[in-house]
Amino acid sequence: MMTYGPIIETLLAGEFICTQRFPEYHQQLQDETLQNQINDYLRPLNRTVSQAADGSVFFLSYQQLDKQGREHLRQQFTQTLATLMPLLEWLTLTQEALGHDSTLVPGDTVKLPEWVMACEDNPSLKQRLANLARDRFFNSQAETVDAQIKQIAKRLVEHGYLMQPHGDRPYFIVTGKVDYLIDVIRFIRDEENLPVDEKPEQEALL
Amino acid sequence: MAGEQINVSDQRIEQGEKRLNLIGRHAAILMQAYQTGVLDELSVNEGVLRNLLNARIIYQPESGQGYRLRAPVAQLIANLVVDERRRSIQADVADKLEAIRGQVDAFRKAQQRSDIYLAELKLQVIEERVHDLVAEFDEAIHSLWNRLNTDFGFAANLDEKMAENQRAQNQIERLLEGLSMIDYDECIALADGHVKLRHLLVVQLQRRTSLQRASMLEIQHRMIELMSRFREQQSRSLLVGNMAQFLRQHPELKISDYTEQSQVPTLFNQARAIRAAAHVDVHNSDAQRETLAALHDALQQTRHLRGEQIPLSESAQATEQFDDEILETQQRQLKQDVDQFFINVAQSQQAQSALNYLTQHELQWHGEIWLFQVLSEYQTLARSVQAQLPLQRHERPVSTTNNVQIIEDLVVTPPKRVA
Repeated sequence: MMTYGPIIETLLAGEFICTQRFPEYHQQLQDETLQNQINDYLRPLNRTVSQAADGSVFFLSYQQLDKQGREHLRQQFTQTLATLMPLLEWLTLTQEALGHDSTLVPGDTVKLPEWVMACEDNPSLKQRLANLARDRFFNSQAETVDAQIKQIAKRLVEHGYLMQPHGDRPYFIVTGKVDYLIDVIRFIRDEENLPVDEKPEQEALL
Repeated sequence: MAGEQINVSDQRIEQGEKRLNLIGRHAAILMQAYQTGVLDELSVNEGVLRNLLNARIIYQPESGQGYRLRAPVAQLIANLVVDERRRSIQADVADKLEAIRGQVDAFRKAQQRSDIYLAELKLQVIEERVHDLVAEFDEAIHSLWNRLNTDFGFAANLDEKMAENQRAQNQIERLLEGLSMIDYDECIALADGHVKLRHLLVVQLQRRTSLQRASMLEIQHRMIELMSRFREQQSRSLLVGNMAQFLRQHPELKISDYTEQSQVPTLFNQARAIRAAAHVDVHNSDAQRETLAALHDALQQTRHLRGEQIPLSESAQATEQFDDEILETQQRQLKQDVDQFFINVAQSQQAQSALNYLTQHELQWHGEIWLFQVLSEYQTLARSVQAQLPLQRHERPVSTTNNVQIIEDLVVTPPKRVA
């Protein structure tokens, strides 16, 4: 029999399961039968397995919403909105600083020294980084680029957007939670009817 | 002597120039010969023919037969036009097939006349043509794989990559069209009754081209996949950039609270974490992780030391006199449980009593043995690990008159977390 205790523990701990952080669990969760088994197990706990970004991430949702659950979700949503801007700025900043074709996608590697060097060499990036680091979400009072970037990376690891494969090496892997973030942005754009395009043709017209 | 040598090489240079010029002057008829395999004698006068023969550009296999390009010249042309041909692959395939048909026809006629020498020659030409045809596709496929495997790394930005991808996809379509012009039924008919021809046209050509077709379809599939990845990356970047810009421009934007909806969208329905005491998230704190790693190492090391040589010396006295296998297993289990206890403490956030742990985890060990083992395992840990996991003894004297201290319980405190 397949044991799925570790998956349940990870899910219950509030983790997002993606290929980068939990490759084995993510693979196992592709199996719908297993998902159903886990859901059966979680039913008394009022939890159910959810997925976002086309199965890029799995996490636990409330199965039924009571007052407490709703209150938790409300707080969480407020927090999500507060983190939206700093996360977007982080994505655009790293794209520019590292000279990437596109914003970070799961599996991308972010090397801190590279990032530090790019920001130190460019006054405009340096200023933007300083602003970003001061944001409540990252909450850094540091003066140096190096310390600011370290703090940003640390917070992003805490929130599951980055992972550090080796504690002593300054490089980070982007996780599937970034896909979740993109999903959230698209959702808000669609719900609020925001004039935010993602099609190149339309941009060309503008 | 030296002067003579210079003279000779001068002559060679002069001769070489003349002959290269000759090729240039008669490029058209030479290309025609290259294409069809035989020089059209009627389109040149005798003088030219003689010059070309003398210059070793063409030769006549047998008197009365047609003139042909010498092999090095044909190879030179093949090399020179390879790029050109890759671009116009379709027309080229048609030409090559036509040439093969012509050569097969000539081969049959020569056979009918029992002209073995000519037939053999024609067969060689056919072999060359088949090889050229196949090699051309091979080369194109190789170059496509190369582009695919490097993710179009040579293109400077995403837009260029997408343009290159589109170009490659168009090329694949042309190549596939070119391949589809090879009619296997016709090849079988052409090869009818001749072993060597059959080998060339059916076995070789057909087998290779069907592999090539499979390869190209695979490349096409991957190209399309890659393209959709490029598109996704592109739209994602635009989305992120535009959204950031929009939010900056509209700081007052009020986003409705989706959690008030009767059906909360899944995206915003993340249940609160449930952390069982025994399953604390080890990813949470660096300090904790370090302690755990050190603890683990320490346990491993001491286990290795004790493992084979003196399995009994450091463990509880109560089991010392037994050395049969069952008890040894039990003892190992006891050690493992104690190890687990330390790991558990290191992971948790509060001090734990060894005896409480024993009852909580429903371990079957006798309390006294358990405490003794905890104590002895603790002694084997490195000083630095001990410093991070302070152990307190809860002791009481045996009686008011006897001051021998009896250990009632042991409490281990986890490391302080760095905020």
